Parts: sequence; C-alpha cells; structure tokens
Amino acid sequence: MSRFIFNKNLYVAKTNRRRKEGLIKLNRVLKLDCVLLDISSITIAEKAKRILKSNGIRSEIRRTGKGLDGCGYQLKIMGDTLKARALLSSSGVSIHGVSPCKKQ
Amino acid sequence: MIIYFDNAATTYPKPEIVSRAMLKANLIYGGNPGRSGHKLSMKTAEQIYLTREAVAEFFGAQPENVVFTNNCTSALNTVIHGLYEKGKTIVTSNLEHNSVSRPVYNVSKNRGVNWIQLDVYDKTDDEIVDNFYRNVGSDCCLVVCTHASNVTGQVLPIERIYNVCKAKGVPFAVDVAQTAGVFPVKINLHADIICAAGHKGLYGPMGTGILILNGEVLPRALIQGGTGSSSISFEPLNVPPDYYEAGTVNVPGIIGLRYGIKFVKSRGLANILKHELQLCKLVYDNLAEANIEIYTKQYAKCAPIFLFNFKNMSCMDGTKLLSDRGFAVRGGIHCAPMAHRALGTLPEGAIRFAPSIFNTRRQALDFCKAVRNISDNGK
Repeated sequence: MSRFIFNKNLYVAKTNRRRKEGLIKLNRVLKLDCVLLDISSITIAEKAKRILKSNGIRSEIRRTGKGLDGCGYQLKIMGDTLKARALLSSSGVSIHGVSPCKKQ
Repeated sequence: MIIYFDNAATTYPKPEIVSRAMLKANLIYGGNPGRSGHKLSMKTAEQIYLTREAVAEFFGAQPENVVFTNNCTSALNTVIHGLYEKGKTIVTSNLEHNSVSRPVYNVSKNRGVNWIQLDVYDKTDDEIVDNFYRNVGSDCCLVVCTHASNVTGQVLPIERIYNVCKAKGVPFAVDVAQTAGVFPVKINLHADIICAAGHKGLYGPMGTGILILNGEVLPRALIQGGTGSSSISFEPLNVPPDYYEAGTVNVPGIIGLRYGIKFVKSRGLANILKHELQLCKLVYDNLAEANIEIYTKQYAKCAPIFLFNFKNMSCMDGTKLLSDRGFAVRGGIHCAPMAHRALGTLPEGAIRFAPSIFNTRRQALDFCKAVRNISDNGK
C-alpha cells in the first residue's frame, strides 16, 4: 500500500496555479476576442460598424436567420469586444443578443 | 436647345457626377440592400448608408432618422397621415402646396380633423409668428407649413414658428421642397420633422425625397411591407428608417442624391442662392417696364422665383410662346391653389421663372428679350 504524504506547499502551489488558469479561462469568456452581436437592422449595423471603425475595432456585418423575429443582422466583432460593446452602448446602438463566434 | 427655367419643379440639368453615380449604381450596386447576405447586397447597403450619413450631416440629423421616400409629397403624406388625431386640429399656412393641402383636406374631410389655414401672404415675420402663436394650442396635433412658397417665393420664419410649437407642445413639420440646397435647414432647430425633395435644390434625381425625423416625433407609417428583417412577425420593425421604408428603395436615385448633396456643398448654399437671386433680380429689373403683370415682391428674404403674367394673353399661351422660343418655364397654378388665391391669380395662375446654379446672365437676358417681344407683339 502506497503511502500518501500530504505536501501542503505543493498543494498550495498547484491550487494557486489552477486558480490562475481558471481565472484566465474566465477572462477569456468575458473578454472574448470574437463575438456576434444581434442588431435589428442593416442601418443600425452600418452605424455600429462605423463607430467601431473610428475607434480602431474591426467588425463585419453578417446576415442571420436568428434575429428578433426571424432574419436580421449580426455584427461580428474581432478584437477588444468588451470595449466594442461599451462603445456601442454609449452611442445608443441597441444590441439584442451576444454570442461567441463559432470556431471553424 | 431648350433653356431651362423650371427648376422649382425639378432642377435640370443635374451635375455630371450625379448622372455618373447613377450609371455606376446600375452597373455595380445591383444587389437589393437590406435583403440578402451576399456581397452585392451588402455593398449596396453600404452605399445607401453613405447617403443617409450625407443627408444626416446636411440636415443635422442622425443617419437612422433619415428616411428615403419617392418625393417630398410622400414624405409629407407620411407626416400628415401619420400624426393626425381625430377631433384635433392641423394648422398650416395659406401658401401651401397641394402636397400639404390635399392630405390635410383628406383627413379633415374623412378623419374628423379640423384644419386652420393661417394667412401669411405678404405679412411681416412678427405678424406671422403672432398668428401662429394665437392659433396653435393644446387642441392641435400638428403644425405643418412650407419654408418658402413655390409661387410667391416668400420665406416663412420657420425657426420662430417652431419655437412657438415647441412652447405649446405641438409637433412641427416643415416642407423644404423649395429651400433645401439654398437655405440651411436643421432638425431640432427649424422643425421636429423635415420633408425635402431630392430632385430640386439638392440636384438629385427625380424619384427621390427625404423624410428627416428627430427621433422623438414619430408618425405612423403610411405603408407596410417587406423591410428585410424581423420578417416572421406581421408587425414591422418599428424603428426608423426600416419602419418607413417598406419595399425596395430607389438605389440609383439614392446614390445619385448623395452626389447631388456633394455638389451643393461644393458650391456652397449661400453662393447658389446668391446666383439664383441675382438672376431673378436681373429679370425683375429688365421686365419692370414691360407690358406684363409682375407678382413677385422684393422680400428681404425670398426663394429665387419670379412670377408674372402677360397682360394680353393667358399664362398657358404665354408659356407656349416662350417654349416655342426655347425657354422652359411653368405656367398655371403650380399645384398651389391657396397661394394663387392669396395672390389673386386664380383660376388661370401665372408664369413662373425659377433659375438654377447652371443658368447664366446671358440666358436670363435672352429670356427677358423673349418676354418683351411676346408682350409687345402679342405672339
């Protein structure tokens, strides 16, 4: 029978490491580097794209079949998505939904 | 070759950049904007948005509050049919074009709306504002009036009228068909809603009009249909501009309109107005002693229009003779019977000379020569 000897220091170090990794993973979810924002119309999507472009954030308008009531538009944002959402919110752009970009 | 002086009806010629932009639109931007996800549709949608931005900047509005219509008449109909309330009152001036007076008459006859027409013809600004102040009250659902008469050229003090309406809590819509492109007009400074023609002073193509909203006063939409989004519901997306733009928009026209606005900005509104007023004054001074009846008054501020009649023939005959001599002017009532009633020129109407930035002194002088010739010889 093997004998398990509890190494407190090792345990603490591993736990901290796992905790750090967990936090990093959490940040990745919150600060996704690619999100899709559901926008009500092409006009609002174009407006949003320009607001982001003037702040150095790339985005792309896409058509979706999962809008408010069927077809609509999404803005694919690449980069600092938190900043992008804050910019759009402060500019009065209504966002109806947020989802991560699907990995290809 | 015709010398065109009917620019109050529509400007002609259009700037070359407008025609080229429309040709390019037909060749390149052939997708239906706001309908599909393919590149052609998206590229076209982007072009439409660029025009919204240009119009918004021109009138001090937000791009999403810029609605494209077929003409100024459609825009005015949306406002009047979209804001009337049964049992309440709509106030207009007595110089309105039929694009205002006919829909207001329609709702007053069929929808239980009262209609007050205020006498503004040849009144001072103070008298006009006082008249609006006395007649606009809590029983009003809308005040709509022209910025400048397409018959008399008289410019109304819309900023002051708007302030009266704001103080009384009544929405104010202005018809800038004759002034967009020559007088600066801004949303929330001059009106809650601006209705403009794209094809007159903005030098855009026929078949374009603009309804500019301030985002707070929102009429009911005149028509419903496909908007390209939220299509499952029978309720349309109730935010501008989609709410007001059911159906496919006039893509080449809207793109052309952007270049018309670009042209106007490059020349400068003040320069365009100065040029056109100078031509009107030249004609006025040259024909003051001719055997004609002149109705145009020398207001301190007026739209560039000169109105007259031959004393010895009807205005239609006079217009025909001028056309035979190569001059395009409009004779008749100009779709503004109220203005002609105020002038005393009903039922025949009068002949209207309305120059553009493209007309020259030489052309105006040749016009005067033709008028004098016809008035002296009767043919």
